[in-house]
Amino acid sequence: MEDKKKEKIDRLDESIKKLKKKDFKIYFFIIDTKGAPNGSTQYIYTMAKTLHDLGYNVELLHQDEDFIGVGDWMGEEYASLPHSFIKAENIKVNVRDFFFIPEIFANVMSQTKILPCKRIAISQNLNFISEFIGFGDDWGTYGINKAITTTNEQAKDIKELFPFTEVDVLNPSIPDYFRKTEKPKKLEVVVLTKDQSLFAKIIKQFYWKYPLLKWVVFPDVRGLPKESVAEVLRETEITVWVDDDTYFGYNPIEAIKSGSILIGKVPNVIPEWMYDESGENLNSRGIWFTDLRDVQKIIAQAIFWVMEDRVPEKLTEEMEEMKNLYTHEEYKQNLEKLMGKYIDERINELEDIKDKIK
Amino acid sequence: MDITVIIPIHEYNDTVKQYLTLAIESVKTQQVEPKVISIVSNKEINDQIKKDFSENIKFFNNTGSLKYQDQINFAVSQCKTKYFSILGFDDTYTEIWFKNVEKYITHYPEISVYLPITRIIDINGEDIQMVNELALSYFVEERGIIDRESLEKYQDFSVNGGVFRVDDFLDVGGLKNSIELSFWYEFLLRAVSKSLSIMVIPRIGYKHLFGREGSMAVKYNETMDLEEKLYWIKIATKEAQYTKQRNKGYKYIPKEKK
Repeated sequence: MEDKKKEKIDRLDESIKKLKKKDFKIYFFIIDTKGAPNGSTQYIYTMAKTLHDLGYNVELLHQDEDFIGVGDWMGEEYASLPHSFIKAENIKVNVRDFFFIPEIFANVMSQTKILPCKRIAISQNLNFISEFIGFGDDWGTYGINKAITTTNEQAKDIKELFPFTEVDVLNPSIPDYFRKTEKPKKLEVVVLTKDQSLFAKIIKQFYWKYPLLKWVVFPDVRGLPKESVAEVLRETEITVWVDDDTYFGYNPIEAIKSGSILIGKVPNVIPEWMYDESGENLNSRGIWFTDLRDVQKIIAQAIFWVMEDRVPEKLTEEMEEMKNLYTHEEYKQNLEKLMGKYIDERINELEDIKDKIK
Repeated sequence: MDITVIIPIHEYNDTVKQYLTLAIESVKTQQVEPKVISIVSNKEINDQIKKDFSENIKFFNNTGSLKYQDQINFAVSQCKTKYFSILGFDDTYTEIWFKNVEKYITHYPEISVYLPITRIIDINGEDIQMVNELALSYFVEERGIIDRESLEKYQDFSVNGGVFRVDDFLDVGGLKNSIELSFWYEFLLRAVSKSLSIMVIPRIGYKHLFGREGSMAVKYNETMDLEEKLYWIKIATKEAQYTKQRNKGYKYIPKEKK
């Protein structure tokens, strides 16, 4: 009996030692978007890559035999991170490992309940939590008591649903290649929306309503790799963005950081960065609208602003503020701190287990 | 900015004076001012103009023909600046024009001609149309650049208010006075065939008055039918192969007279 106790304590000591030396694995469960750019996937890959760059051993797990990955739209440096095809019930982990599970994988949360590693949920869209979880279940049922989310607003919402869950906020980072250039931009308009029919509707109706502006070009960035999108945004004067369901809004931030005037529909849940200092009113980082019928008029107005060199100063000044928000440098520091906290907490948990064994 | 604004005048009276006041004002209120504002005409007319406008204006005394093409060729040959721009006495620049040209020269110094988007207005100041915006669309291969192919498809790009590199204008051979109506079109064709680059800046830089009694445009509209206009375009296309004027003495003869 004593030998068994000693063996357990020695193993725990070994794990604690390895935790302190970063000698453990960090797993991320991911879905294959089949080459389609996706903000949620981008968030997870950014986290994995940054941890990898910080010296951690990361591995991305998926359940897709025909896995395509993110090479085409995020680039080779992300696609070349270690990946494994594995069924959730076959995952082999250690007590010192960490396993990050997106909120849509309630089934994986359930199947991995008995794993000895530390499991942490990643939640980026509240809608996905309730969509895939079984009736009568909650995260507690699956032993999930820690989560990471992207905004303070979402953290509040998660705490309301699962009060027992400790939620950390890790704001996403926007890649550095979304940046302005001093070179003059083309007077063109990019439309960013997931809804394909809306994309066509916005443009066609613009040409019908404003035949005088039928020369205006709307470059199509759908399906392009992120760096190519960044290049187009850098060259383009105006970007239109419509996404009612987003919680964070990667696209509009990317456009603003690229110096493109943003015309954005206010989403159902308003991202934090869209508010001014009071936290109650929308700021002037973009031209915001709520009724889709207004968008063509606003596009035309923005075009004439540019042609006549009278883009409001308030707009350009507030756009400039975005330069220093959601930078990768800040993100890296925050993630390093967060991971450090998780490691310390895990060490404490293992110490507690050791004490209980003694 | 190292540019000469050239205002060609072939007659002077109260009406011209009225419009000229606004034209010169539009130069003086530029956010980036040109180095030289000049008026080109014969000495007699220049002397009359000097009585009303003398402050900071250079006068080019043209001893030759007052035909528009000859006026321009003469004035450009007198320019000491790197660039020039032609301002119709009854037109105006918008105040942002030279500021934007300067910005584009910084980033695209290889361009020989920078054209604005022009608002064409009537005598009441009401908008008729915009011109040159076509060069910003899918109409051209490289958006913003007017090339030979787009000139062959479309003959009405406007050079009003455009900023030209003096050396390139002279190297191309200037304007030809044997061509009526389409002499600027012919120049542009000749320029692109010599690999000069022509860029349209997406800024409204110029307001062109259309419909003033006695203007060249009104004269052409009133006296030329479609057949004659097509004739001059054909001549322009033919002559654009030659740098020097061939003094062919082109003249349109209506079909029934042939």
